[in-house]
Formats: sequence, structure tokens, C-alpha cells
Amino acid sequence: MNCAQWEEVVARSVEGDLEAPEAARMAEHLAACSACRRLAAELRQTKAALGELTGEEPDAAIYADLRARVLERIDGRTRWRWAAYPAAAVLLIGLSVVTLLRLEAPDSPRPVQIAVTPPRPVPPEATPRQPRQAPVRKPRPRQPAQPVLLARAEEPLVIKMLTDDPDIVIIWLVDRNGE
Amino acid sequence: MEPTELALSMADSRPIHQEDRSRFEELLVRHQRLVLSTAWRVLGNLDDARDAAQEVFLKLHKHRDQWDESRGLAAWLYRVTVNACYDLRRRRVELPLADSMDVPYDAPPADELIDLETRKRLLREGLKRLTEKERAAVVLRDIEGLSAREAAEILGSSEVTVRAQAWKARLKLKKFCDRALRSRL
Repeated sequence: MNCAQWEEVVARSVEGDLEAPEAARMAEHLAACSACRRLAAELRQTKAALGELTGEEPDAAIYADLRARVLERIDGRTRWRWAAYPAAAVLLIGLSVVTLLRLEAPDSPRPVQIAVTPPRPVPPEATPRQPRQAPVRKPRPRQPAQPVLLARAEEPLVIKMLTDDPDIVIIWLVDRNGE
Repeated sequence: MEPTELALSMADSRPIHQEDRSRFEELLVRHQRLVLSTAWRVLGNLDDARDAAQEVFLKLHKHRDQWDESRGLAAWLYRVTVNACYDLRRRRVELPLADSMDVPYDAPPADELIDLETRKRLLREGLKRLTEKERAAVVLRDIEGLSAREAAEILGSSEVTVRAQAWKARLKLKKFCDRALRSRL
């Protein structure tokens, strides 16, 4: 073996990783090879110098900062949790109220309360009639139920529309000509 | 109990009492050197080490029900610290390993005198250039002074593997120091 091959063996010996037979062979080589002796010595120096790094520590201020950060994170999560529970409760209650209100009052406004009367009977001459003796009636187009209030002939029709706001009432006054 | 005396845990909604918090603070003080210094050696950067150490203690707090102080927390803390460092490094840009860290055998320079402080400074720099596993092995073995068995348990590895990583790391560090010295000449 040349020194390049002994390099690993020497390194392992410093680690204490050699079995006895191998350690004996290495010792024999070191006795004859100054380069490998030097390598072994420097590897031990490296190991010792690494051990000296143990005494090097961050400043006390760094430790204090670390503790403060950790405790702040823990306390912060605690405060958040304490705020979260009542906030969640309020949110749930609010959602429940809104849901109930929407169930009771859907999006469309309150139904308009109007008085609807059945359409007045059409005069006989206005509707077509079957070829019978019955009077002919003029066909009238089907119209949606018009809000018509009962009124005497000489009085205007009053249509009152109630909205979902109790303070707002729409009132129409319609004469018999629909104006 | 007044709300100010209660704190809800991170892990669950059980409240922890003030004495629990004091107990945790004591543990924090007792083990801060182990965690922060190990993280510092493994990461080579104090800011990163502080981030990693913070995560370690938050994890410690989360698993406080599993503390077994009779067995000592040191091994658990070492393991969690090394893992936290690994995780942090994966999120950072890795320092490229200097290709010269694996140079073939070269006879060491003759009559090179190197003072301890210079060697320590070079070693700190050289540690950053090791692989994750080599760095962890040599930090635990040579800086923290743990046995190969203890280091293997912390790293979740075998003694044989840890020893191999440690001696390879030392060899690389020695060569790094040699090269740095040569470049100064």
C-alpha cells in the first residue's frame, strides 16, 4: 500500500475505528512513513481543535432573544386562542340569526297586499258567442289580475301597495278610465 | 381560574397552568446552549441557528406531555435540532461543496505551523463545506463530545456509518485547512 491508500486507514485509526490486526499493520507502517505519521498527528490536531469550538458560544443576548421569541410564540398562540373562541361564538350566532332571518324573509320583498276582486262581468256584446241564442261577447285578452279596488262609480280607485318597510306605503289613485 | 392564568396549548385545547409555563421556561434555559450551539455548528450561521432552535423549542413545548426528564432530554433535543437544521438547509440555497474538498491524497506541507485560533477559524469555514451527514457526525462527535453510539442514536444511523462520516469529515477539514494555508503562502 502507498500513502494514498493508508490515508483512509490513518483517518479511521484517529476515529478509533480499526480492529486490532489492522491497527497493528498501521502502526508498523507509521514507524516507517513520516508523511503518514504527520497525517495522523494533524488529524488528531483537527479533532482536538474541533473540540475547542465547544467553548465558543453565542452571546448571552442571543440566548435571551431566543427565549423571548419562543415564549412570545407560545403566548401569542394562547392569546389568539382566547380571542378566537368568543369571536367564533359571535360569528356562529350572527350566522344563525342571518340564516333565520333569510328563512323567514326571503329575498323578495313582502308580498304586496292588495285587494283583488274578480273581474267584472263583461257586457254581453263584448264577447263572441257560440251560434246559439246566447249573447255574443267580445273576446277580451287575458290579462293578469289587475289590482282593482271596489269603488263606487263616482269615486276614484285607490290602490294601496304595502312594502317591506312599514313606513313606506305606495298609494295609487286611479280613475275609472285607468288614469 | 382567571383567564390570565390560563393558556391554551398549541397541541390541544387543554389549558396549561402558569407552573407549566415556568417549568417549560426552566427547560428552555437549561437546554438552550445545547440546541443553539449545535444548530450553529451544523448550519454555520447564527441567524439560521436561531430559527432552527426556535422550532426545536416550539416542538418541545408541543410534545411536553411526552417529556421524560428521568431519561434526559438531551438525546431528543440533539436529534430534533439536527433534523431542524436539515430542514432549514433544504429551504436555503446550499453552499456548493468546494470540489477541492475531495482532492486526492497530497502530502501535507512540511513544517507548517498553524496556531490554534487560525485552525479554529479555518475549521468553522470548512464545516460549512461538508455534507449534511458528515457535518452532523463531526459536530456531535468532536464538538459536542458524544460517543459514536450516542451520535448514531441521535442521527438514526449506525455506529459504523457515524464513524465513517466522522473520519471522512476530519480528513476533508484537514485538507481544507492545508489548502487554505497554501493559498496564503
